[in-house]
Amino acid sequence: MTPEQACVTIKSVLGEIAPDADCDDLSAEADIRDTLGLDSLDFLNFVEMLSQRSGKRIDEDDYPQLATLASGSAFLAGP
Amino acid sequence: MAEMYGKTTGCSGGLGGSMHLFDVKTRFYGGNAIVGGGLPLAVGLALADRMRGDARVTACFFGDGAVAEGEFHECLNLAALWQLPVLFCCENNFYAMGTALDRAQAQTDLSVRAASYGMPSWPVDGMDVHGSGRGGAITRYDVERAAASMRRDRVTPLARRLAAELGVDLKIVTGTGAGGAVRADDVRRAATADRPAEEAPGPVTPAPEARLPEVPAREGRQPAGPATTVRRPERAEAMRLAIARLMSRSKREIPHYYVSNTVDLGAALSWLRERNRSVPMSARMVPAALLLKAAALAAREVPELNGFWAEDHFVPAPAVHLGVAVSLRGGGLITPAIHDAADLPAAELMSRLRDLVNRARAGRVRGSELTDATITLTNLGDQGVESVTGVIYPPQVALVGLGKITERPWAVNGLLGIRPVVITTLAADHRADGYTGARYLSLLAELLQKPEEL
Repeated sequence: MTPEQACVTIKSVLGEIAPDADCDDLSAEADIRDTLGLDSLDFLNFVEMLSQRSGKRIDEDDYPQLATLASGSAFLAGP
Repeated sequence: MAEMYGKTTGCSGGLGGSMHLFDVKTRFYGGNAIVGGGLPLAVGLALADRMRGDARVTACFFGDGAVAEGEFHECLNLAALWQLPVLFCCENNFYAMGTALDRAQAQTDLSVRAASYGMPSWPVDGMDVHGSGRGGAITRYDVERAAASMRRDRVTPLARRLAAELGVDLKIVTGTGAGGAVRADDVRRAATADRPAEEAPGPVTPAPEARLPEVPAREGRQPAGPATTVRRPERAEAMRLAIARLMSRSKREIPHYYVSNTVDLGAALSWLRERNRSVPMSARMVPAALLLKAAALAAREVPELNGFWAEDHFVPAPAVHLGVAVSLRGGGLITPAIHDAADLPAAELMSRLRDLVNRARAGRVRGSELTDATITLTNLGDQGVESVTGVIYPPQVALVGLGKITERPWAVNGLLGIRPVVITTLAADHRADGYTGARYLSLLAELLQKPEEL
């Protein structure tokens, strides 16, 4: 998965979790949870769906890397 | 006759005898040996039809003796109150069990008794029956008209509660349900569209208010589309109004007192991290689940805070049904309950919480979940605030508030360290209790130090 593909995946998952939010306006460095008002259960859904779609295991220790679109895309595209 | 003789070929298989003739095939639900005993059964049948949406009318026959029974009055009252499709026929022979009517009854025109329940009634000469047909014959039209006049006022129970709360006159609401029945959505639409500027003081009773933000189950099953998006702001507005009333009432009537405590979550979070590492991703728990479990257990240990304030005294609840404040996307807040939360293992509580939040946001919460909470918890920590002191949901007597888990310098055994902490608060009703709030929060803190036992 390239960082571009990862970014699209993250946005589409966010669109399902917070249908009211406009993910196109989400800037690369903005904190996703704060900007979209996701609570801890939303975030858990987010992580689960990302893991399913990318096939990558995501541990709790990896959560900080999913804070923004930029860091999240890099993480999913990484090894 | 076979039934009278107790033969198996009788309509009741010979078991009914002369007093209990019945035949389900012809929808004849039986004679009754008790004077007036058929009336409650008829009202029950009509209520069943109403609830199942079957377009039927129940006919109930009784004699003039039955009108002196309490059941007669109770049944007419309920049938009129709930607008049930029942046709009550009193066969008046003027000599119930051999007593002349005018020796036992002050009012001998029995048809006027129905008037006291606001029910249309007519005396009919049984020897010369009149309908609208040729020669006074009773026609299909007569029956349908009778049924239609009953159906006109069909309102779902939720819609009725909502209308009472929002001060909506049901007569002006156009029903869109089956057979023109008025549904909750119709009331909400009327409330937002036609509401006069000044506020109509509605009847205020505790339980219906608490149930208000209920969303009918069928709404969730509708396909997403324009209809859903159109309805949403109205629903949010009606909900806003309901919350406004309930919270104003809480602040007006309940003398709140508040206590707060900062709790070290170091042990709880490291236990949770270890646990989550060893389970599949779908079984991971969030800290909120542990906090919920501890809050429920503490409520069980401090029963003075778990229950209701009703008619000037506290009524403890037999179980802990933990209400959880859930914010809805697009505005609004509901507090559905997790039943028997203190008895559930933490992992089970976690999956219930996920399920509940998902359903709440999809508008698929069950009615019982919205009415049964015995104590409520609000967790604003996810929104980034350090602490929250809440407003109690009447008629409950306590509300637990949880803030954000933050890292703070913390002294343990004379040494300073960095620990994750959470500020827990409790708002409690001073009428019900004046000091156990402190005990509750200390217990909550204690329980959170032993996460493995939760």
